Amino acid sequence: MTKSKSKSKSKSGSGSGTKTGQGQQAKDSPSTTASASASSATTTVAQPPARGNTSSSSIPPRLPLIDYVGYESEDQLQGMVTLIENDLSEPYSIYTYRYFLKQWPKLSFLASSSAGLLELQNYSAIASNTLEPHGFNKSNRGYIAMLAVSKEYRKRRIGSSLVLMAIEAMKTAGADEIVLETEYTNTSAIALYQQIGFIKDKRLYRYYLNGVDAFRLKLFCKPELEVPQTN
Amino acid sequence: MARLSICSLDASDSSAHRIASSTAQLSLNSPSVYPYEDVTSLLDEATKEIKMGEVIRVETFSLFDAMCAIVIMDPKMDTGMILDDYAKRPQYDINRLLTPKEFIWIFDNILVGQAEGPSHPPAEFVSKVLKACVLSVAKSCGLIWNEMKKGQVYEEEDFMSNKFGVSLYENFPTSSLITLLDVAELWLDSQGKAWIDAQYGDEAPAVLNGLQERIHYSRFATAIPMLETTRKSVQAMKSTHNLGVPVEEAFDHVVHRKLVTNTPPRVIALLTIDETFTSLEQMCEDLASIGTALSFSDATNLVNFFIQFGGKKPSPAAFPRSILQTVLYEDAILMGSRKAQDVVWESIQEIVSPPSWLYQPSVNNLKKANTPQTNNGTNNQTLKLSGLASATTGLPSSGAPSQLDAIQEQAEDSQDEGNGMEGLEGTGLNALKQVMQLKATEFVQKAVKPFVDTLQIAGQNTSRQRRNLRKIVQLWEILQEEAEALDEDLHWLLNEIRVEAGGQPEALDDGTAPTIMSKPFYFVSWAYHMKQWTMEWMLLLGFELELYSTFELSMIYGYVDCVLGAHAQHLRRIQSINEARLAEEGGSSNAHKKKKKKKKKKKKGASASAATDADADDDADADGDGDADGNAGEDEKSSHPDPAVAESAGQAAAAAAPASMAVKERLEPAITSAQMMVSVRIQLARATFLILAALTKVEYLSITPPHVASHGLNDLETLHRHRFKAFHNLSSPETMSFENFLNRLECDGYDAWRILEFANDYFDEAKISLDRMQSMSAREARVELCYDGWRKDIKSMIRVCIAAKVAIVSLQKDARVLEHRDYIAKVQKQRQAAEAAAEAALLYPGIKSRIKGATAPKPVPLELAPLKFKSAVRKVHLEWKYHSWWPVISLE
Repeated sequence: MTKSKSKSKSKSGSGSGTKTGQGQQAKDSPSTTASASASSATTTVAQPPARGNTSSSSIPPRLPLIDYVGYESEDQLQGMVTLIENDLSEPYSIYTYRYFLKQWPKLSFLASSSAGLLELQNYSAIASNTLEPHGFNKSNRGYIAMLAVSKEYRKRRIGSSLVLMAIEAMKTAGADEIVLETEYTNTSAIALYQQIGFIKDKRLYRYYLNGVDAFRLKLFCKPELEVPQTN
Repeated sequence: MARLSICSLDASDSSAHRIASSTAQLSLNSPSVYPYEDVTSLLDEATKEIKMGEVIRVETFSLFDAMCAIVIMDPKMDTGMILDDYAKRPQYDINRLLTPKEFIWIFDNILVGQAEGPSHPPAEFVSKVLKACVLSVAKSCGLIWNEMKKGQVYEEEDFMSNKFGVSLYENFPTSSLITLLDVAELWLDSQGKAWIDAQYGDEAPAVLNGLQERIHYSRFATAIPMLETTRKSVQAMKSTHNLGVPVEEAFDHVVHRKLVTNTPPRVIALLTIDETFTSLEQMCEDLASIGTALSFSDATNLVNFFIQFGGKKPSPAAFPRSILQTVLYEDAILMGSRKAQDVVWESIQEIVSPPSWLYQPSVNNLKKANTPQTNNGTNNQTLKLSGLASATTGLPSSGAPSQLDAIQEQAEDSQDEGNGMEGLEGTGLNALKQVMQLKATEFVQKAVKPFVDTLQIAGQNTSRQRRNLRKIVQLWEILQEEAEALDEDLHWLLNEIRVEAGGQPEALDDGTAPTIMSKPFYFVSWAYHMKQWTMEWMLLLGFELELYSTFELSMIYGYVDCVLGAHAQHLRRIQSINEARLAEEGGSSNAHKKKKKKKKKKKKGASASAATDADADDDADADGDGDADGNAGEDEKSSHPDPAVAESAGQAAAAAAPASMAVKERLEPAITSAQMMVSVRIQLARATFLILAALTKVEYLSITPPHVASHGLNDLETLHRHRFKAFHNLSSPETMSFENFLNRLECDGYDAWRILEFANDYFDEAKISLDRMQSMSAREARVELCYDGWRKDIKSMIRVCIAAKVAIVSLQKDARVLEHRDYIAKVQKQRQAAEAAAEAALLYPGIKSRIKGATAPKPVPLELAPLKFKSAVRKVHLEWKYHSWWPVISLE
């Protein structure tokens, strides 16, 4: 039996915006609606309080509106890092952030309110050459690397909005499918992605550094070319 | 260089301060023996020209490189960082003396680490006892590490091979260690005992016992075969653990800082002491079960053992799983005892029983050779011989062995002499039989890989099991295709043999009805059976891994039902072939008369008890063919030129005869137990499907996802394509198409209440079968190596049946279920009324039309308006606590 060759894979995927602590929170809260992980952002990146996305319509009036922007420069980086470091169990060096942001800056998104930076969406579209039993059709595979939303801004569909923006951008770039990993105990993150249309494709044993299994979630951007054969 | 730049560029002031203070603490500022050079100013200078966010990197810089970098003094990544509270704790004095109670505590905590991988006890020792014990635990970690690095289990998932530069005393000879332990034990028995008696009074025996058990454990931890003793030591340690007195400072939980590493080491979550003892006991049991399996009696028992091992709950630890895979297959030998291809043949024989002359079992069969009277010397010789044989025979992939080639050539020659297919004479037919035998042997060799790979799956973690089974299914598919050609050839030859024996050809053209024996498809049947089994395994693992969403469940269970249905049908066919074969053998004994004399001679060498057995006749035949093989096409009637050959042939026959006796005796159960398990699974899958279908009818469940993806496809039809992708290209079985599923879900228009009634019936049937299985002996069920586990599985399925039946009772009382029953009843009544009216209209069309002067009235279908449920929606609750494949479904 062959062993997993790509050790990098098993490390690279970590933390689609979700962590252990958060799974716990999900249990405490009766609602399972979308929200990604924990703790508050400290950096203030002032953005005009413009109406960002459709999702903001459901925001109670007393809360500031959310502005969604694409990644532009490393001026935004420190805020992202702080947010993600607080939220995700998996530690990332600055190189990991730069790996994604430098190669696929257009696929990374941030949301902020006049109160400060809220979250980060950071992903990449990478062509995967996986050999499927069906043949040699190379599919373009997008990958969502990290997602985090400050605690006080959760349950406002900010995470979902960011994911949708990313999906749109990746589809425009020609993605056939989009994948990500999340801790299998993180029910709220799984719910968030399932609402968007992701399905649980695989389970990955002790995927994270903390020894927790992951689910690989997958979104089919368009139907596969092959027609199912009954016989 | 790169890493340094991180520190200088990204470290904030506070972390810089931390570094400074910690450096002071670690006294790194003191003159060092290492030629360190401060490059901070150089770096500052060099990076001045770099713009914010600019990255200088080599082209090959990968995500893995990025992930490997550690930010020094980042508490999350730099796991060895000395934090304030740790720095304040007392230092362990390596020269201090320990009391026996402190020793117990320290030792038990070492075990906590051992269970989780390499531990890091202080490398100092206060007494003969602790030194010896600690050393042996470390050594055992080293031995385990040696096993784990073989690559049977998955790096990073199941274990980490990186020792971070920690010595596990690889070069410390085990014999010296045992001497140390001897010394320790001796000391404890003499001086130690006196001292403990004086020290602890009443508690002394317990303390002493506690110490002795820990020495015993250390002794056996390095010698795995003493598993049962080790397990007892673990139990004894468990009972004396409470005597321990903590010496917290003896352990260093941030030992990482001392390790040589370039990636953040995985944090090891330590078990509690109870968990540690439980897992150590479990590990002993798992390892012991593997030990028992080494001397497996037959292929079916072996396969069943692997199935049980792979599905064990809690899952066996990575170490026993690795051991299992290591012992499974090496040098063409299975479980260190028998030639892999012989076992594969045995598996084929046990399932589909093809004519035994088709395969010549290896003479160098280790297990057969290891008869009681053999001593070690001959054993070793046999081993060597066997290794040699396997080396010459080669693996299935290495092509046909030269010796066999020669035989084939000769066989072909004699075939030519006999003018090929026409005018077959005895010798010609024999030659053909030889060719067939070669082909069969070749097939069996080819089958070794899928067979071994499938068994190996059982040693992997469950996630990998499912992922790798996808590939295994394809292997069986390929093998099944190859088997088809072989079977076709065999059918032709069997027909020729029948003609030769004076029987009627089983041809269609002469008008006689072909029996099932005309096309038995032995090899295809076996490969297909294995393929179906792996398909089911893969699908059912999806439940265990919690991959399926609720809205998919009915489709998956429907599909599983379909695959299982095909399997059951297939097994029935195999059964009828087996029955037909037995009948044929019984009827055709006359055909063997010609050869009787020769056989008698053989049987002198063979087991006398085999004389009356039909199978033994077959074996004698096979033996005859084998001799022909050995003498390379020599005339059958000629006597053996070499008495030694005759001798060995006789021995082989003697060994083979009882084996095939066993096969015959067990023939029924081998297929029967498989059939029973498949039919139980069908009943459970169908019952579960029906409950899901009923709950779909009353709209508690849906087959559309709760959130239809706006940006992608997550509808059930897409999922149907995706989930069963691995099976799309299979030639068989015919699986459930999506349309087929939708039809099935309709359940022929029955109402929800009635459907639940059907489900209840299936659970009843399943329970009856399971009860019957539970009363089967290990031998009957072919689970001699895993009887307890197998029974546990049966029991959990029985629990599912009972709980599910209770749940159905309350489901049937649900308001919506009753509404639906009434509605369907009404629909049926109306339909009946409409039908009656239509019938009446047909009877008197003329009268009516004449009277009214209008055209004949059409029967108006009196459809009721679709049912709108009045009762509120209830939430469906799926509980998997009894069995991870079969849920109990209820309403909240």
